[in-house]
Amino acid sequence: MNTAEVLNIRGSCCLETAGIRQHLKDLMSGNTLKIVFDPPLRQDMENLVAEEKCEILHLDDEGKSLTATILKKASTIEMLKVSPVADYPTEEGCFLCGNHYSPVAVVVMLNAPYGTMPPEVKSIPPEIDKLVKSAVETGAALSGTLQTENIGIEKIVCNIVGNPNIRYIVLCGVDVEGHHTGDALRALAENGINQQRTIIGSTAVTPYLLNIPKESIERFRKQVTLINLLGEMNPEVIGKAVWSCYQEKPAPFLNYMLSDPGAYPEQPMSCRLNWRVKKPESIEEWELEDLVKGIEEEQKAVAVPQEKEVAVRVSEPKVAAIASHLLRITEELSQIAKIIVGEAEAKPIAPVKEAPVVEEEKTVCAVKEEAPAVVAPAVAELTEKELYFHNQLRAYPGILAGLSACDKDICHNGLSLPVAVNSIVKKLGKLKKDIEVSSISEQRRGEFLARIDSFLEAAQRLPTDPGPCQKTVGNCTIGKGCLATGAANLLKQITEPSSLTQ
Amino acid sequence: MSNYFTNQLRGYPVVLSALQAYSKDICRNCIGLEGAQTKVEKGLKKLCMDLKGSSIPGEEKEALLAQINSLSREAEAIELSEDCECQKTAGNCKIGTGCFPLGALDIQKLITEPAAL
Repeated sequence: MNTAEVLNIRGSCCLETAGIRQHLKDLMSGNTLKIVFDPPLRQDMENLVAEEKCEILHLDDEGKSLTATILKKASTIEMLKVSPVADYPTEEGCFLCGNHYSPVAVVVMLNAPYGTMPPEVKSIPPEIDKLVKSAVETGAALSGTLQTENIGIEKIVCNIVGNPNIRYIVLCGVDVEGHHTGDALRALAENGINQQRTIIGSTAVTPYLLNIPKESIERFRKQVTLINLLGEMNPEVIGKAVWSCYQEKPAPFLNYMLSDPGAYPEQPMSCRLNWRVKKPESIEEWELEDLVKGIEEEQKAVAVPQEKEVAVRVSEPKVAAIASHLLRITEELSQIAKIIVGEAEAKPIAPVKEAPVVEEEKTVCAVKEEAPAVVAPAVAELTEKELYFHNQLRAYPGILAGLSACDKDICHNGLSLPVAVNSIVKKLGKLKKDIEVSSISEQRRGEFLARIDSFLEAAQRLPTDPGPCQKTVGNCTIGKGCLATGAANLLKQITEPSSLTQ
Repeated sequence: MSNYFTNQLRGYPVVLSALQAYSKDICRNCIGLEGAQTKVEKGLKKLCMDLKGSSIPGEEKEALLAQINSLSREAEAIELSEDCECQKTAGNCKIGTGCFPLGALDIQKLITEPAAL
């Protein structure tokens, strides 16, 4: 603290005209100033000192004058950053964490066929991997990939609302084919969700956000600004966007003026997916209303306070009585157990009569085996020729089951079913011949031929004599398609190995 | 109107029979069969809702509903492993890009008339 400068303004009628405000403004932080002034100005002095972020250390009253020793308070820095929630990032995913106090997260679209990535996602295309890494290196709080328009976006929402410091999302990369996930994220930021928890204005197929609270979605939309760089794969451009986001003074970036506004002025939200809907991609639009209603009812039920537990006071004598009673029961049970064990040791075990099996109601499906035998061949051990036969044979159980189901319908008297059956029988015959002359192992040959024989046996139970076309007769009105032909065409699902010659 | 329901219900037994047959194969462990089962269950549920809301006479409606219920039970009974994964990704299914359960599901799409309710 420096030696105080002394200002004597006795006789002045006003502090402002005496230039005191300016003196206080110019006073360095931590320094003091002594001002001698007339007592009527005391209140004004106190107010002015407070306004100028100073404080009166001493006030000496000398009767006709007052002397105030004034200290300039150290300037306080406004805290613009906050800590994320304790379990941040709350949701796992394919992302990297950078500086938690950074105001920007980067979302790179993972344009790869859905479901093809292994769980550990070790085969991310290198250009996407590069983009993710460079974003974190440039200073992003989070940088990762996004593939699905529902679960993926839900995870992003959870991780963003858990860290109020994140105020921007840079969306980049080539949008996911078929899913239009990037467009879904854009639409979420712009429009939010509707009553059925569907992202408004999204072109994605299933943009349903059903596993996170509505409040978190609203908060997400308020907290972040989306910087839409969909289609952009240049790490330098993404880096510039990230850099611009954490500038103290507004920096121009494309059509945006970006700067770090500090943390969102509300507490971080700890939010996780409740996994009520594990497969949102299989939800049909018509199901949404009931589903959302169920979710909201569940939430209401959770919100209803539980009934208070009533503490029952039990007197000590009662406790003693209950304990003695329980002890007696335990002793009796122990004696019963001894008797049973003794009897069981003395007598040979009699066979237990099986309860009569009640036959299940017959159903329309033809194939119903009680103990399904899962065929789990080690395909890796098969030669190319063996794989060809193995694959062909895999189709027939479904084909024959489908044709059997057709046989229970009007197809029984029709044209297409016998045609399909005859075609299948011919194909099985051809396959049988090919197996017989092939150079595969005897063991495999035996297995394959046995299967073909069982298929041929099943096919023999189906009609082979063509009747009139049931469409022509007017019985079949399903349109141009044919169920029997459709079942037979299941064979066309097999495309590899394409033929025996390969 | 009942023609719509009758036609739709002609397809499901064929689809379900094929799916049940494939549930005895490695498809039992596959998301393809799992997805096909879900689709069938939902299709039947929707059909049931539409039927209940239709103006089809009571007795006929009851008969169709019974048929739907029976098929729904069949769909539910398709046996699947607890943890399904794509058998192509797992390296067990090498038939190419096709999929037996999804192919079976497509049989239902052969019914094109009446187009819709």
